[in-house]
Amino acid sequence: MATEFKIPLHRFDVNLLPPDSRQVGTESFKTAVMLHFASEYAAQGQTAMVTVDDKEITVMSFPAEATALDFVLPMLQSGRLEEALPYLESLTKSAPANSAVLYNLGICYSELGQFDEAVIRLKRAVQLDPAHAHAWVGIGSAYFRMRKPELALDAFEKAVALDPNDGYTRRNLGGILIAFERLPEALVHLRKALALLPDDPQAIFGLATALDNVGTEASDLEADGLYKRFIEEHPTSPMVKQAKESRTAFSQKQLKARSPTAFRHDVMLFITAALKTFNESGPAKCREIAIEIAMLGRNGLDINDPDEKYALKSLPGRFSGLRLLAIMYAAFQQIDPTAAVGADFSAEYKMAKQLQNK
Amino acid sequence: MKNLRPETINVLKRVETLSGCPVEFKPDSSLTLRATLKMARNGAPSHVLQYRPTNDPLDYWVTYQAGFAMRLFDLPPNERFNFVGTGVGADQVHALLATGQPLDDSDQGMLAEFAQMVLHWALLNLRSYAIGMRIDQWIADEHPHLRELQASGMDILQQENLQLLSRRFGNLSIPVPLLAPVAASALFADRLLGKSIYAIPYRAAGVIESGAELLEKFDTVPRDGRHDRELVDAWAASMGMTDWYRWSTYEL
Repeated sequence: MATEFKIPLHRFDVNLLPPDSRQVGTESFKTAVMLHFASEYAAQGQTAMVTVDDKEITVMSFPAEATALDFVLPMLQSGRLEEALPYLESLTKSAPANSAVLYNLGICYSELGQFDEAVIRLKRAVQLDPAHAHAWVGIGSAYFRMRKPELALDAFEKAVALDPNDGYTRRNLGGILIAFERLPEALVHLRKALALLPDDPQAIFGLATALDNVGTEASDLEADGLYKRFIEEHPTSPMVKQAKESRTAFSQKQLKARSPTAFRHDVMLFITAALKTFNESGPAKCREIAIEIAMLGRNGLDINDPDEKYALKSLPGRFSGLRLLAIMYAAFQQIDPTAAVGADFSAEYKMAKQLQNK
Repeated sequence: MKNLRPETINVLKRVETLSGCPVEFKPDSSLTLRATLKMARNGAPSHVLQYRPTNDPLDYWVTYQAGFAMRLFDLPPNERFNFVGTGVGADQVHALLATGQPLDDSDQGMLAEFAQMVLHWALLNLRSYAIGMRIDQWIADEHPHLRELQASGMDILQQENLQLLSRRFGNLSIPVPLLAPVAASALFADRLLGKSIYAIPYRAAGVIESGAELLEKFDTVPRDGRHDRELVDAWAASMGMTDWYRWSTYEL
């Protein structure tokens, strides 16, 4: 069971501290206070966590280093990093050779953007525990965010060498190998990562990205499936937008690939019909139709299925995904030709306009 | 009250025999203490043992409270005394509060009220810690079956006492010299339970030497109940509280 107490700063007996650390409020004072309690409780086989603010000293003592760390971990897990930081700093005074404490402190600094501080703690952690693969991952992540990719790659490789059956180490190495355009190696690590962490969103997205970069028809197909899964399983992720854009690009690529001349007569006919409708119903209706299709297509229109499985409120009838995309393209050419709709039907549109003008 | 051990029941029977007055049990969930024994006075028909209803065993707390009554009623009637505040002392507490800690206008405004609170608290502690430590020693020596419950109970009390180091009324906090009985209690708990951990906060707060001085007097004054007043007086003298209280004859 933890014990906690507070002592107002003016009440602390500074004679317990070294003479050069007795100026209340200085960093030297704070460190000396932490060391004082760390030493007092360590002599009793306990671990102390000490924080010093402008008014008082807070001391928590725990029967073991592990229980002290257990107190801090929920703060880290719930993202209360700034709250956790002073406790972890204090713990490094009580438990200077505890690699788990140093690891968590390093990760905390890294997440707070203090990468130099992070690398110092994480390197100390691997010095104490050379088999600490996750500390190497932490070092790699910090270096990557410091824009030192070579050092990051080196750290991630060390992590995988230490624990090749850890999905976390594999995922990070695979990710950075994409940046180095070493795609075959990236795929090996990311496939392994996904096998080890089958529901991990970053493993799914990372493998999809690597496959996307490979760019073959088979890899595109597999990447599209992974992006689709990612969107369905992690709809609130900030990476969903990118996944959707990639899926749209795949569809367009497939569309073009199926027409050897790169010209789709069916699309041209869809656009011709759409232009006729817009002509008859006016620009407001055109805008209404465009917006409804755009909303419907937020999760991607299935343009490879010829079935007429879509319906609109703004336009009677049933439509295939490809037809809706063609209508939307034509509508945006009327409203805002610079808008990106995820497809390039410029040739088909040009031909449709020529036919309309005859 | 259910589930008291036979040994605890025997202690309460001993109180009834010595005082000639029954012990009445009263559950009270609002009680801040686990149990407290209000001794019969001035013709009251019984002693009242109030306790906080709980599933945890109360044997230590009940035995501890009964210890105060046993030490009193073990004495011949002419040697039984009440501990009564004289009303003196507020000025000294006021002076202690006004020195050694930074006070703003708001603190100055609260000074008199807080001084009264601290005076009352210090008087309660003076007697209860001095004699309470005797009782804990007695429980340790003569009731080894309570060892675990005593260790746990003393630990709870020590943890609660730690809050006193930072208890505040505005910026006002209890003056260090008046924390000496609490520090003595921490030193005593460490010694009785074979630890060195309870004293650490008081050392940091600069009060451990005063606590050690009280503990030394505790060790010097004879242990039996006949010398309880002597112990309290010795502690009071050490803390400059001699004229803050007086002893009056106890009457059932």
